[in-house]
Amino acid sequence: MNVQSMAMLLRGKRGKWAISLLLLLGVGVILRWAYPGLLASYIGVVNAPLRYDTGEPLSDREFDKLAAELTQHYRQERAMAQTAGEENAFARRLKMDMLMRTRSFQKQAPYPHIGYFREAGIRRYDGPETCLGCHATLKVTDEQGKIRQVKTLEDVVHSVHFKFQSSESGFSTYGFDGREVNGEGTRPIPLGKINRACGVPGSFTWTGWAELVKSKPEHAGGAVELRSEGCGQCHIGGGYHPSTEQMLPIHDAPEVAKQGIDCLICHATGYDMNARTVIEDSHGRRWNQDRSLKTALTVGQPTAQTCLFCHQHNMGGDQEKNLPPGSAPDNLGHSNRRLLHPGAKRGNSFQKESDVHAAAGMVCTDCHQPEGHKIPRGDKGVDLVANDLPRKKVECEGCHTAAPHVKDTEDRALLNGHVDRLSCEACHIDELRSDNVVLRDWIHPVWNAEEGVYVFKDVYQSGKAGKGFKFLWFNGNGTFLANALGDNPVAKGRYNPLMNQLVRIDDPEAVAQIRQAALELQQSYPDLDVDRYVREATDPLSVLSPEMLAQRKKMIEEYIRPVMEKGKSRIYPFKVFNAIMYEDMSNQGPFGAMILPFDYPVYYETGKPEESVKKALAHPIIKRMYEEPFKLYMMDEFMRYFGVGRWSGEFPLAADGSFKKVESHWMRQMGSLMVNHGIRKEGRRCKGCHSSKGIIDFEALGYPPERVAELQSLPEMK
Amino acid sequence: MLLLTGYARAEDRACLRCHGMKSMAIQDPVTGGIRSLAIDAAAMAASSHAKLNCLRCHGPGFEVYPHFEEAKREALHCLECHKGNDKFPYALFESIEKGFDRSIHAQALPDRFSCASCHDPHLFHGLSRTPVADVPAQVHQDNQICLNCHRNNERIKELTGRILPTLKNTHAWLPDVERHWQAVRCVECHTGSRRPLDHFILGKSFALRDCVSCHSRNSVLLGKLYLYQNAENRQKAGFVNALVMNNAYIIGMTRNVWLDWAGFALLALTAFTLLGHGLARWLMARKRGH
Repeated sequence: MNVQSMAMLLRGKRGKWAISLLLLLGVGVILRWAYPGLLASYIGVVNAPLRYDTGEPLSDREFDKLAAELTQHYRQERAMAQTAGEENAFARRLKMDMLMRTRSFQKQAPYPHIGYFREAGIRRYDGPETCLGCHATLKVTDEQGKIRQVKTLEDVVHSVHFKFQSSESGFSTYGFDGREVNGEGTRPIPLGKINRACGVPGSFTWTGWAELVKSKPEHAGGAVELRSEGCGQCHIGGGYHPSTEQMLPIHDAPEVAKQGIDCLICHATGYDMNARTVIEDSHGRRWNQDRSLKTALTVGQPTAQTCLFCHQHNMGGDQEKNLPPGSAPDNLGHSNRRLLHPGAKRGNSFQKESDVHAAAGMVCTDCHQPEGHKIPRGDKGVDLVANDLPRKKVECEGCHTAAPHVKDTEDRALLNGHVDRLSCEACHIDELRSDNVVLRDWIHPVWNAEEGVYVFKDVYQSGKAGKGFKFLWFNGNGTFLANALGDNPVAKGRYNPLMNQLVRIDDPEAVAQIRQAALELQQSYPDLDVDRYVREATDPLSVLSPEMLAQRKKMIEEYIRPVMEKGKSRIYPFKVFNAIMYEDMSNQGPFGAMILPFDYPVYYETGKPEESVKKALAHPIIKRMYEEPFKLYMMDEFMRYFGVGRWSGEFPLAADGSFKKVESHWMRQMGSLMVNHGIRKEGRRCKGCHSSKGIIDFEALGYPPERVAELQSLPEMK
Repeated sequence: MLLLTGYARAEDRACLRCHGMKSMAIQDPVTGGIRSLAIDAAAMAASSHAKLNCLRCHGPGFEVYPHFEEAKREALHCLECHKGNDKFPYALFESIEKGFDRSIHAQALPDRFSCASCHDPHLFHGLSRTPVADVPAQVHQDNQICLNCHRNNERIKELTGRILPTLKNTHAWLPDVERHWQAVRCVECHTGSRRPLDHFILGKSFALRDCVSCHSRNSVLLGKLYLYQNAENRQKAGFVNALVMNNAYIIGMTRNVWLDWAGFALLALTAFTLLGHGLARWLMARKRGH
C-alpha cells in the first residue's frame, strides 16, 4: 500500500476508526514495553535473567543413586529417633540395624517426588519452571469451603511473601490522623515491609537488599572475609532488588523476576541454608538459592522447619541454641557467610523446648491455614506488615474452646472467667528469651572483634515481664508506628499508653542497666553525655517541644482514643522496642520523624553511621522519594498516617554532602510487637499478677485506685 | 429489713466478683458442651428474681470458695418456693409440675432437665396476662426459650451429648415455616392442649400436625396464645375483631360475618345466574324445536 492510499484511508469515516485503533495499539506498546523500561530507569532498579548453579542434568543411574541415598537417610533418621530411648550405644546400633532391615520400615517412601521426577524424566531442578511443569494451576479452598482454580505463579507473585506490601485495605492499623490505613476516606497506597519505617536492620528494603560486607575477624588475622547481609535473605524472590515494580502504578513483577522465586525454601525440608548467600554478577548483587535436585526431591507441604528457615529471626532469634539440624543460624553459608543478628526481635521461640504446640509436632500452617499461597497472619496486628487474608482469624479459640481450662477442677471456671479480660498469651507466655532486645542504639556502633565488623549496641535486653514485654489493652488494632491500641473496658478515659507505659522506662533495674550500657559506650565515644543519654532513652518524650507535646496529647484524644475504644479489648503481652536512629527532622511530628536508612557495608566496615546514612540516601529510589511524583503518589498520604501531615520533600543532604535537618533520636514511643508463640502449658499462678509485687501494672492499665487495691489483694489470696 | 437487704447485696457482690466475669464457664466433661456460669447482673436485676440474693437459691456450701462439691451437685428446688408460697396458686404449679414430669424433656433427660433448663432463673421474667397487642413479643420471647437449645447444637450437645437434626428439616412439612415461627409459639403444637401454661411438652411424634387445630373457628390458639384478649372482643369473634386489628390474622380462625354473608350472597348470585341462563337456553331451544 502506497502512502497516498494510506492517507486516503485515514481521511474517511473508516479512517477515524483506524486512527483510534492505532492509538490504542500505541498505548498498548508503551504500557507493555516502553513503560516498564522507563520506570525501571526512573527508580534505578535492574532486572536481568537470573542464573543459578544447577549443574548438569543427572544420568538415570545418578538419579537412582541420589534417590536411594535420600530415602536411606530418611529411614536412618527415623530409626535414630525411634531408638532415642535406648541408652546403651551398642544396643541402640543393633536396634537401628534391625529396624533398617525390617520389611515395613524399608517400605517407607517419604519423598513422593522421587517417583514423579523419575517418571517425568526430570533430572535437573530449574526453579519455578520445573515446578510449574506440573503445578501450573492449583485448587484453592477459601474459608467458606468454595474451591477455585488459580494460576500458581500468579498466586505466588501476588502474595505478601513475594510482594512485601499491599495497597489493599485490611491493615489493622490506624494513622495518627485517625484514619484506618487504606480504609475508607483514604487514597490506598502500597504499604508493608517494603517501605515501612522500621527500627531494625535496613530501614528500607531497597537500600539493604543484598550486600557484601568486608569483615576483618580476629581469627583471620586481619584478612578480609566477605559476609552476606540484607533483607533479601528472607525473601522468596531472587532478584537484584525487592519487587519494587509491584508497588508502582499499572505494573507487575517482570517475568525474569518471577523465575527467581525460591519455591524450595518453603517446600523442601532438605533445603540447604548454606546456599543462601549473596552472589555478585555483572548486573549486581542478589541472593543465591539452593536449586539442587537433591533438595528438590524432598519437596512437599511446608513444615515448621521450612517456615523457620526465615522466621527463626523473628521467633527465637538468631542466637537460639540447640536448633534442629538444617536451621538457618547454624548454616550460614560455605562462603560469604551471612552475618548473624544478635538481639532477638521477639524472642518467643517456636521450638519443642519452649512452645507447647511445637512440642506437639504441630506445623505453622495448622494455625496459619493458607488459601493457596496466601497465608493468614490473623485479623489482629499492630504493625504495618501486609496481610494476604486480613479477615481470616488465627487465634487460640480456633482450636481451644471458649472454656479452655479443663483440668484444674477447683479453679477452672475461675480461670475461664479471666478469658473475657485476658488473652491466653498473657498467662501462657512466661518470659521471652533473655536476649530479647528492648533498646537498640544504631548511632554508636561498637567493634565486634569476633565477627570483625562494627555492630549496633543493644543498650537493653530483657525477656522479663514488665521489662522486655508489657501488658497492654488490645482490640486488634495498632497505630502507624506499631503501638497496640485498646482501652480498659470498665474505666473509660484513663488508659493512655502513648503518654505512659510506651514512653517511659522507670524500672530501676532497667534504668541501671541502661546507664551501665551508656557508660560502656562512653569508653568508645568520650563525648557522650551519660545522663542525657539515659534520660532520652528512658523518656523519649523529653525531646519534644512543649507545643509538640501539647499537639501530641490533643491528637491522641482526638484521633487515637476513638480507635482505642473500638471493639473488645483484652490484655495482651507486647514485646516493647525502641531504637535511636537518624531522622529527617523536616518530616517530624509529635509521634516521630521519618527514619533514614543505613547502608550496610559502610556501617559494618567503618563504624561511621552518618557516612552509612549518606551512602544510603544516594540510592536512586530514596532520591525519588523526595521528588514530586513520589510525594503525590504515596509520601504525602504516608506522612498523614505518620501524624506529620505532609511530606516535606526536602532532601536531607545539602549540595556539599552534609546533613540537612538530620538528628539522631529515639522513636518518641516504644513500638509494641505482638507475641503469640513460646506458649507454655502451665499458665501463671494467681499471685503472679494479684499481689502488690505482681507483674501487671493495673494502674497503668487505667484501673481506678480502689480497683487496683482490690485486684492486688484478693480475699482468696490471703 | 433494710439492713438485711444491704447485707444481702454485699453477699451478691462477693459472688459476682467471679460470676460477673462474662467468660466464666466450664466444659462439661460428660457431654463436651460449654456451660456458662456467668451472671449478667443487670439482666438479673430486671428479672423476676431481682430481689432474691444468690444464696437464697444456691446454698449452703456456696458461701465459700472453692464451693463444696456436694453443693454443686445439688439441684435447684424451684417448687419449694413456687408451690409452697402464698404468692402463687398452688394448683397452678401442681399442674405445671405434673405436666413437666410427663413432658418429653423430663422423660428423655430425667436427671439433666429441670425448670432452669428453660427458665433461666437469672433472666426469666414471668409474663402476666398478654394483651393481643403483645402477642408477637410473647411469641418471640417464648420461642427464644426453646430456640436457645433447639437452634444451638452446642447447647443440645451439652445436655444430651448428641446433635439433633436442624429445625428447618424437622419442620419441612409446615408451609411457610418462618411465618409460623414468627406468629405462634412452639408450645401451641408441642402441647396440643387448650390448657394455658401447659408444661406437658410433646415430642415430634405427638405434636399437632393437623392444620385445622389452629386454622378453624374453634382454634386451639384461643385457649392459649389469645387467651387474654379482651373477652368482649372474643364474644364478637367472627365479627370485626381485635385480631384483625392487630394484624394477627389466622386463616380459618379469624372470621368476619359480613364477609361470610357477602360470600354466600355472591355464591347464591352465581348459582342463580347459572340456573337462569340454563333455563333460558332450554326454553329457547324448546321454542325453536317447535
